Amino acid sequence: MHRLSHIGTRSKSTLADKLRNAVGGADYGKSKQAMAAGSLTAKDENGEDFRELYVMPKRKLRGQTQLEQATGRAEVKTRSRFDLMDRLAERPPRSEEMDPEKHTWSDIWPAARTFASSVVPLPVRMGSRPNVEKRAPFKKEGNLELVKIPNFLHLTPVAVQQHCEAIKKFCTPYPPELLSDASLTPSLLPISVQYSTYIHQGTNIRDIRSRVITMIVDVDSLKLSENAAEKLVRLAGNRYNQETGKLTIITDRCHTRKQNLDYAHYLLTVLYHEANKQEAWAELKERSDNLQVEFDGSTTKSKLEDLIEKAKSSGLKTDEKALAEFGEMWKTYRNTEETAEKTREYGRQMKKMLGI
Amino acid sequence: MLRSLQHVESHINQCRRISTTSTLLKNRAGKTKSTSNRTQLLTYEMAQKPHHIGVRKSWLTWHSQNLEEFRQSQPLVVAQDEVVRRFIRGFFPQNLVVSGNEIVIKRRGNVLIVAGFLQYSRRLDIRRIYWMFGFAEEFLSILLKQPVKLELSFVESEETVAYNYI
Repeated sequence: MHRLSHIGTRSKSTLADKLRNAVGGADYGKSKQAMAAGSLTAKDENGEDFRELYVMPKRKLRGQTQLEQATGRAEVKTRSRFDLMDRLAERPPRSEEMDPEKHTWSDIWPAARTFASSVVPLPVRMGSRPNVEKRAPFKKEGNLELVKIPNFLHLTPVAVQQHCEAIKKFCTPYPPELLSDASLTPSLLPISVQYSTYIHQGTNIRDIRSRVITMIVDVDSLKLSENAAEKLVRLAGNRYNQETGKLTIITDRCHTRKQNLDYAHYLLTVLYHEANKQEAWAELKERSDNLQVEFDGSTTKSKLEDLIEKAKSSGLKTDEKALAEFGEMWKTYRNTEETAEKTREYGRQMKKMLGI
Repeated sequence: MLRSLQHVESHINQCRRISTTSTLLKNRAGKTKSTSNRTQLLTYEMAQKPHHIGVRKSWLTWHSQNLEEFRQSQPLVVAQDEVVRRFIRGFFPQNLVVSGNEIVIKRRGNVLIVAGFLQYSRRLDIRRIYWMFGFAEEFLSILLKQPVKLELSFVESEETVAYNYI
């Protein structure tokens, strides 16, 4: 009893043995060991030995490649570029494929576009050089200066012609009466209204200046009497241009363009009706209230008449009919800007009148 | 006596200073440092000094907001330009030419047009580039609330746009 227990403890000394015994006793793993060790002990169901089949891969095994690399006899396989297909797809620039017979430039460049050197067939150069004779400015490929500037390649004369042809059907013909005689414009179209529309770069579409209306009226076409015309001129002040005979009304008083246009029409109506009214105090007008200096009633006229009388009596050959002509000339001289030519005319008329 | 001088020195250090010595009184705008073996690439754009703008080189952005009537919208446009440039620089990292200096921004009406040069020397992937263009246009249009069109063109490599090497 003593000896058996002593042997028992010694035979189960290692941890691995203890675990093995705990799992399945002394014969755990024996069949696996038998198979790994060879086919001597493992048999299939018929009691025959297993025939081993080894499948050889079709590549060089790891050991072989390592040997080849170590000895330097390895075949280096070159891989093609990953972007090879895209690089093969590169075509020559479009400018080389263009044929004037088949393509029109307005189809190739229909709208405004930044300069593309592959599309434009012109050999353009741009860039500053210290010595232009020695080295020419830079060519168009990769030239940022050509990209920066705005180009008008979309506005060739042919393209402009095409645009005009396309828009023509929306236009009304020019009035034939004005084509034949341009001076009829004031009488046929006496009022002209001008306004501006502003386009912005950016998301803004409003501009406060677009509400301004300029209305230019030809005063002669209003067919006013002489007094009414003079009253209108006085009412209008510096809005009336004497040389052209046009009344200009500029309104920006209201918020919208339509309102300003209505206001301009209203002003014109008011001016017209006020000019036609005759007030009682208008008859108190004197010679000094006139807008223009008149010859009749001026002291110059009375003095000239005296002078002519004296000249006649002294024997000079005077011309009395020239007095009326002199009066016209004197009126224009006094009421308009003085020039050298007008002064000479004054002297000539005076000499002619007095017979000098 | 010495203690009051200590206080004076601390007051001097707190205020800002300007340099007026002759060694520092230099104009450094537009000057790139030259390298010893001449590897620094200069484009035509970079080689011209700022006082040549309008004479030898043109502007990189074109807008009308510098005119008197458009003063109110000027800062918006400047900010838009900066946003566009940074986006292009960050979105096409491999494709930039010289850190994105060759980008021109134009405006036609409401449309903002980005033009200039990108390079494909390292990797040419046409479909990827088309996709990136579309994405960039869409993204910038939504961001800036106006139509944005990219008219960037590609050069083979940076050497195409080189002016000289310093």
